[in-house]
Amino acid sequence: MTSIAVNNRLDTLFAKCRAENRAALILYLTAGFPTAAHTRRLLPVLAEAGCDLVELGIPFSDPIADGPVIQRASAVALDAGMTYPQALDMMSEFRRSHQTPVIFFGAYNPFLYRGMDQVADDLAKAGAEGILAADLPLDESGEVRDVLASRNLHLVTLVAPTTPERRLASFADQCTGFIYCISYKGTTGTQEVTTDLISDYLGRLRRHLSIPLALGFGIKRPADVRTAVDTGADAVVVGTALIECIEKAIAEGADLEKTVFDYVSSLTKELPRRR
Amino acid sequence: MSLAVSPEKTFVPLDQRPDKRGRFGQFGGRFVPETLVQTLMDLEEAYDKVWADPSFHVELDTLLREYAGRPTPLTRAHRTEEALGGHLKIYFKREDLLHTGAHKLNNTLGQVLLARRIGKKRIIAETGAGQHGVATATACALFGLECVIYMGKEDTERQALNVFRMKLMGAKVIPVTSGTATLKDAINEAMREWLATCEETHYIFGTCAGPHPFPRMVRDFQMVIGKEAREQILAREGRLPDHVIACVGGGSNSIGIFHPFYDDTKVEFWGVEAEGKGIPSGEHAATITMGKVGVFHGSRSFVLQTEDGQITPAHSISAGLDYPGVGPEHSFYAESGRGRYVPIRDDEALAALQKTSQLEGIIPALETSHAIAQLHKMAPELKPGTLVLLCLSGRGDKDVFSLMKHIDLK
Repeated sequence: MTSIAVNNRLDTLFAKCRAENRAALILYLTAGFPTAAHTRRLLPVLAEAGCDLVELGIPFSDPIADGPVIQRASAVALDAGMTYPQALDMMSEFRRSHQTPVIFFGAYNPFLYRGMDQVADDLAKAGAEGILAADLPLDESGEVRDVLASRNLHLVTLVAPTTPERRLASFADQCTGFIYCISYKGTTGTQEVTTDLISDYLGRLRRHLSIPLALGFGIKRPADVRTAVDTGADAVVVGTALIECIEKAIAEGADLEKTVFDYVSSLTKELPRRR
Repeated sequence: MSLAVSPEKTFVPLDQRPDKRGRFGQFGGRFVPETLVQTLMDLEEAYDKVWADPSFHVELDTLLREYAGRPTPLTRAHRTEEALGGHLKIYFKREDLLHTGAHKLNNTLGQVLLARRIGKKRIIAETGAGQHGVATATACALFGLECVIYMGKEDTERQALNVFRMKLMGAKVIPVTSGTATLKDAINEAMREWLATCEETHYIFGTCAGPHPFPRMVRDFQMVIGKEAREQILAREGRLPDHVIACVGGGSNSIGIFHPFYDDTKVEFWGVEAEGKGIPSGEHAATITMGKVGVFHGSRSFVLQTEDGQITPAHSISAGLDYPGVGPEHSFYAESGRGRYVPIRDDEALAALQKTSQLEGIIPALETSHAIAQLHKMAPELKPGTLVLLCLSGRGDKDVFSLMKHIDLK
């Protein structure tokens, strides 16, 4: 299957990072956590602190791929009344002031419920660059990929340490934008990332995949970002640690914007490649 | 409710369901995080191999006969017939008499044998009413496998007896507090664990839902109910039943009894869902009746969900039906018209439970009582001589403590 060519802000970003010889920083933020107002405030802070791409988390009642922290963030957001249309509003608002690429990240069902044609129209209109549905693996994704591509949107796909080498050719054929490489077996934010864990894995992926590889799950500290970048990741994804940073700042009554800005800045320092 | 005989339809032959992608029409599939995809593909391949291997069937059939107590009897429900007006012939397929007290063991014995053949020594499972947990713990004890059961905290309280039974057989029971602390959350938690342990652990899914190949595998292992019942009723009555009735939560006992009659297109299927406190109350588990097509727990099927695509917590007096999803094969039967799916309220199920206890000396499980209530409800509209087969999927012993709260026998 050949995909329709997609080229949007996301592709421009990775070209730019390549030219600058650095990795990209991707941040996952649960939309509506702890309230919609917080997300509206924080999106510009992320962009201004050097975040290259935002994964805007669409909360779901039954998030099976998430560890306790993001599960909790989803539940808090849903309890506070977060909805998919509100996430679209946030997206449009953010796009009026910032050009940072955004993908919607969540379970497949809330997207499916709306209908993928509608989702694609809405996202294109709001100025997003694509979606990632955690429970829509490559083999089930063909139609969704085509619908999104017809509006110049990416369907970002997950690859896992359990994905055998023999299946990577079909990822190479179908995936666009970047591939989100899950660093370990398990849920988000529950294990540590080490060079030993990821170097063979990224090497194996690299032999088959030429599109950018983003490493996610378990990346929390600047040192983790450095490990991933030195091991050859084109991007790193930080999610759980950002949610924890927000929780802590709120609990301690600290300046939320400043705390988040400082945390993100500490990560961006580790993005340049050493050679 | 119209009971007019439906014109004979041509349905797709059952050997084509599911297809290679695990689809029953638009339903089914394998919607899981990539981490689990290869494990499920390997499981499918291993399962295809053992299902085609006569030695596997010899091993399983021997266990079912000598350990589990198959074949289960087919019991004529004489006093129920009388109470309903004497114009019907009613048979109960007695899965309540299977070892551990419900049909669940058919599946767990099959899957434990499969796990042994693929070299997995550790088993996890979810449970709602606790019957699948008990059946899993039983099969694991029999073969000396490590067994961990995830169970919603609310369910551990209303089914304390089953928790104790599981522990007594050496299983570890993990109470799940996330979400609504019921069956759906137990499945979430078991899936989360499996993401980390899938290479060494087999997940014994308890119902005919979940990602491919579970809906097919669980159905195949439960099909023994319908195959036996079909032979038994032919031997006793010389003809097929007009109606087959069974309760549907995830739908494993019902698919087990329906499926072998699939090609007998004059045999009508009645899947009975839990209507809880009534549809208007919003507190129900009538997934096919009220749900919309979605993707939940790994497959595309009917799902109870909000206008925002969030899963709606289900409600039923019976923990085993308290689930906002349903097996994809049932959704396919519903959409194609092969089966009819109807809701029964908590109070109707309770009344049927008491009536059956008094009329037959059988205390049916609360889940099963929904199917019996449907029989009571439709009986007046059935023609004299109608032959009804009902899956008596489990016994009510496990429900006694919660029944004492609802029934005043003074």
